[in-house]
Amino acid sequence: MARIVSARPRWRQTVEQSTTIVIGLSAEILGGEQRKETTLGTIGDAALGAAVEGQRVALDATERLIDTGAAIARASMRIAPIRSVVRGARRAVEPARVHGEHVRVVAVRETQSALPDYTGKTMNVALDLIQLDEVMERVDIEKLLERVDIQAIIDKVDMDAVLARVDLQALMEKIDLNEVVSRVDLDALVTQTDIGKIIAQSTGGMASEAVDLVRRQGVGIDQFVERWAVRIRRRRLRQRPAGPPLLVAVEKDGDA
Amino acid sequence: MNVKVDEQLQPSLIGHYAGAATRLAAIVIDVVLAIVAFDLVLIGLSWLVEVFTPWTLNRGSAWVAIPLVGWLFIYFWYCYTLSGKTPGMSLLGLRVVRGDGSDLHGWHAAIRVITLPLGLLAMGLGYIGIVFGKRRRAWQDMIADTAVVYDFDARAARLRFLVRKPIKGAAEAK
Repeated sequence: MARIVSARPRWRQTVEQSTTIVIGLSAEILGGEQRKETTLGTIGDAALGAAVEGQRVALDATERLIDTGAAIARASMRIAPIRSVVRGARRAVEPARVHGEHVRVVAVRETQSALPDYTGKTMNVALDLIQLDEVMERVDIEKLLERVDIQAIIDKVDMDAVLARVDLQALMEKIDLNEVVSRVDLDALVTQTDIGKIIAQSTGGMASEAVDLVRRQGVGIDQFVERWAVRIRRRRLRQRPAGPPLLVAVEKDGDA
Repeated sequence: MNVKVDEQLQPSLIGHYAGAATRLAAIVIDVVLAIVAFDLVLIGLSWLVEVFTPWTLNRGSAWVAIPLVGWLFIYFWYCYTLSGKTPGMSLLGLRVVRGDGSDLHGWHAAIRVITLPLGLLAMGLGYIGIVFGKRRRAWQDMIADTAVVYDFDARAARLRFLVRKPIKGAAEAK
């Protein structure tokens, strides 16, 4: 046989949900859902169970009382003198009711308009009171990040819109391209990419290869002679200029 | 002798004073080229004289040295004035410039060519400055206020070399 359960009134749902949230938060702060079986814990759980049961009984009684009161009020309204008294009372409090309604509507509107400002101020006060360093020390950042779906966030970002707001010209002016290029491993770039092929196609064949070889060998012998010359006359040759002043920067000029 | 191109080679050697070895190689190539060209012209000329005139041209005569010296002067002077480099210098990637690095003009080129043999006549003493001088100048450079510099892009040459060098593991991959 199907059991007919009447829907719980809204006020009762609100009270029960509030109680559940308070219990949940308290339990989380005190150690979470799972905790060790201790005497104190057992006593706490027993007290909690009793309190919840007590609340249920109290709420049942209150609900029945309200239902009974409402039934009595409905029955009383069928009696003409009582009905007349109630109507008279309603008429007497009507101006106060209208005023109260007006105050309520205005209060809601003003609260909605003032809410952002109030929230901001409240947040500032809260931030002043909270020692953020201490909070951050207790927060497990890695655990927090594990729960964040970075890919989903990236998917939601409109990169075109972001890039449209970036002033590339100003950005480029701040970048030292010489510094950037100096960090590039040109040898690896040429040997591992198609840039090498482009250079090879644009700069030559067998003839340039032979000329390069001759010149590189020549420079190699020059450097060999140079090293020996510097060994023999170290003091004089250590700071000689690399080339004529108009062609290279000269550190220190000298004769011959 | 361990000849190895310095890995810390300047990005480009253009404008740097040239060393003794490349300069020596360039002058040897130029002298050989000039004399071979002179000989070829002389052979052709003597053949023409023998064919079209009753005289003969003695190519072994000491008097031949006079036009040879003139030819050498023209060969070097013209090349220096035209581009600052002779064929031998072009091969080795060298160029003659003024002492301050500006382009060489006819007068300085002529002085340099005329004084070119002085170092050789002095038992090679005139070339010691190329190795030990602060500005790597031989006597002819000091007299004519000139300098010999590299005129090729060492970095580009190195990149071309790297391009031709086989990449490790590429052969196995194929």
